[in-house]
Amino acid sequence: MIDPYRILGLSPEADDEAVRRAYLEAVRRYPPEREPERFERVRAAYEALRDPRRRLQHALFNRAAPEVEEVLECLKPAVAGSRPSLDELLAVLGGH
Amino acid sequence: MARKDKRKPAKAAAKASSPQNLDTTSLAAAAQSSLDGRQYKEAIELYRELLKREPRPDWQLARAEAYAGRARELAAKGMLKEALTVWRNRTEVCGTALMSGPYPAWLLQTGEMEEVVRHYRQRLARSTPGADNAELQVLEVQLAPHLLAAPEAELARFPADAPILRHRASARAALTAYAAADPQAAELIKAIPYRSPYRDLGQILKTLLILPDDPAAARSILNRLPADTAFEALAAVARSALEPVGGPWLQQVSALGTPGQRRLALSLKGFAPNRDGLLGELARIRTHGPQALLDFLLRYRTALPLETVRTLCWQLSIHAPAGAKSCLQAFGRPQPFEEKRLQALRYEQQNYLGDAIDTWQQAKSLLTRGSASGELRAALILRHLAELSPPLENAARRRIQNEILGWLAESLRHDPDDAETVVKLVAGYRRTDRLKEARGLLDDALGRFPGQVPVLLEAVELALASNAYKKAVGYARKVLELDPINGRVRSILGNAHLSHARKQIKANKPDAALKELQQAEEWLAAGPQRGRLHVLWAMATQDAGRTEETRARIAQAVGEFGGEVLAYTALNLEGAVLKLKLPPTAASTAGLSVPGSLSAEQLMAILRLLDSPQSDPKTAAAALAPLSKPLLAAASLKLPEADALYVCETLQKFDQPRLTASFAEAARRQHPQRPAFLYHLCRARFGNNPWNMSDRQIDEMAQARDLAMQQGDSRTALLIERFMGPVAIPFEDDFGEDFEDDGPSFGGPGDFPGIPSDFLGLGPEERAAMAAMIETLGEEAFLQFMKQTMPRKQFRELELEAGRENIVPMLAEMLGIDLDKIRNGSSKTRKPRGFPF
Repeated sequence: MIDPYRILGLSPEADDEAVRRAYLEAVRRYPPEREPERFERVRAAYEALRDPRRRLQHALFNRAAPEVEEVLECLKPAVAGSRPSLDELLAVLGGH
Repeated sequence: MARKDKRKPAKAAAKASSPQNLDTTSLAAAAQSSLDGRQYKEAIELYRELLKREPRPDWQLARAEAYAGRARELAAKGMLKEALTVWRNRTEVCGTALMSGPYPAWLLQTGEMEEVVRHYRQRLARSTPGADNAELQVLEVQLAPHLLAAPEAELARFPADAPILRHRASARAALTAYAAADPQAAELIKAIPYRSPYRDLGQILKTLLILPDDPAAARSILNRLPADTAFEALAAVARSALEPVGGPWLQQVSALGTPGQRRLALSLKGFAPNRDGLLGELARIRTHGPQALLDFLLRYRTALPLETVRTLCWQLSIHAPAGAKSCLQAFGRPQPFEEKRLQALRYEQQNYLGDAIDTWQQAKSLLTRGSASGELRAALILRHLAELSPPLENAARRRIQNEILGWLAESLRHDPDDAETVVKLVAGYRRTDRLKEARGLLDDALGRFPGQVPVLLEAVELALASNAYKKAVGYARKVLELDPINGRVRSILGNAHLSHARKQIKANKPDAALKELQQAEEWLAAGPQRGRLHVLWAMATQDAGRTEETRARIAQAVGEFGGEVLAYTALNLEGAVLKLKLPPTAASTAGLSVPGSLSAEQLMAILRLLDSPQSDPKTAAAALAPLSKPLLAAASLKLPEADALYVCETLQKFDQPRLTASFAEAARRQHPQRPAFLYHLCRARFGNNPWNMSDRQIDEMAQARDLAMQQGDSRTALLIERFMGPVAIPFEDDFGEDFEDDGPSFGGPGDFPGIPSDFLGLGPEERAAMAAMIETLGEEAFLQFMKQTMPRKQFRELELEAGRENIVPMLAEMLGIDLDKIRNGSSKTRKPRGFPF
């Protein structure tokens, strides 16, 4: 199973409210009728994290091997995405 | 001499087929065929020869086409310089225009802008308003991305009124606004005219702009770009940005052609551009498994957030224990609780559940009593132990059941507010006939968790188990008030009435049975359950001599089951449940008979029907008996792997060795890569006497077990182990290279020839008791104890197989008892293989 925190875009410190908000946001983004598989993953992630008991359960007993995605997460800065600089864009247009 | 002779004909053949020796018609055909087959190099040679003989214009054109094809072929391989040379040769040899087709684009891609600009200026000077300026427009589109990136000084080389300059300013403004996240960016992008060489840039920028909010729309815009867009370098980056950060994205980014593209792709996802090299390596190892990922993280740990890397590395070490020592060197020893947690998870990963349970209990003992966090952790660990153990229904021995229930009860003392655990515990007490304890706990739960459907559902079940039917209906109605479409409560109550009806039929009280069935009708939904109701109804009316009603009810059953075959099976099943002779009569009354053959769907439906909670294996076997012929014939059906497995398992459960062997044999032929079918075949053929297997068959089973382990099918591996227990089979190379042999050796149960499989299920308390016995009695006395308690034949086999002196050490190893400690009084802690602690 992919790390539920990563599926919902949450940090391990997230509380109930943050989990709920992230879940609703993810459901809006991946509604079941349009993205059924992603929705299922989102739903499962929410079920794994929705209250402190479940979050602790996940922290204690999760033995899934981390995947490349989790390594990528730790390479990534806190910002979700960013605008490239003009120079970066021009470099690509200039064939560099 | 002989060699010389052999070479001569080959040489002669080559000479005969050389272009010079072919007649013109054959040569023309060969040239055309090479061109059509994209054999451009060969086509160029053949047309050269043809044109030497006759300078026909169509051959000239074909040769030019062959040159162009060859150049494009080279360009597609990234050999742009070579492609340019071939294109120039084409002009020289065929007299075609140099600045045509893809040539300007290739020049621009290799940085030779000067030549293109010169040509553009000449072409512009020659153009006249209203004339066909298509070539000029193509050149402008190709120049557009480079002109955008070119310094201002470069622009002076273009005539001031050049159309390509006209829209450059608007394109550049849009680009700048996008990069600066200017709120006007969308407007400026829209301002790039449709009929402009920068049009595709506008579409790509629009994609990037809307991507975070509407990835589907962004994808659709990008898909509409022409395949040969001059802005392909930027479009490829935008396509990578459509992927969420993950393995496929990483792959796509690392495949981008230039460092600039890769930096931009990283930047779009918020990565620092200097991560390019590191991400490239990650892309390379991404499918190499946990060990490679762990090595990568350890190598780059100083460049990454320490806490996250530490967590990831230890987590990976559960799957890659060879890396655990490096983790220890890099991060130091984890806290004692964390150390035990990792050990326990490692045991779980290895499927050594007994060791895992012991280790979790050790972890629990390290928690701080009284603190909220400590109490909750303790509760969760105890619930986890219950989950690791076999389900209560399968835990045949009362002792194991009590242990599981004890863990759940203790967990509630640490954390009483978990309704789910309360329901589990009540159900556990109910299933083990501890009804008084179940009622006490449930009464408390009904007060503490009012309106919770799972608690009320358990109340229904418990009331039925206590024969308090009215109470059960009361709880069921409460459930339906809260959840009007709750199917489970309807099924529970409906089935309770069916059970009562069965008792009345058995007691030869058809009227009382019909009353129960009338009540069941209120609860049961359409489908197989209602089908069984009609079957029982038919049996009750048959009993009462109401033949017409019997016939009508059987017809209704056929409708509910969706066919006669299943209705017939249900009738047999009810007959078997009640041990009555009625069904055949009811069947003949209603015109049902044994089907001649079965479809795959019918086969699966029959087994699912018989594999229901109402029927034990013996009953199911009795119900199957009349169907044995069509079932045997059904073994030749081609079943999907999962269905074939279900059929074998179910028939095995119903103790049908002949049928199981037939299906397993057929499934083995169809799915030879699945070891589970060999297990079922041998289990069916040899039953509990694996020692009757030949050496070759034992070897095959050993291979099947190893294959199952490789495939991650630990269930089949374990089943083979248990089946083969008395004729233990050696492990191929223990568990493979993942396991570093630096600790005390303890392999799987296969390392313990002849040890009765019963010992595998012992819980921690019994293991401790066993250790105490060895300690107090001494090894020899303990051996005597075993001899007295085990069946004589089994002990003798064990003695012969393992050697008398090895029995106690092996048993101790298997049960996790530290014999060294007992022998020497010294403490030597066991650890998962490959783990440094």
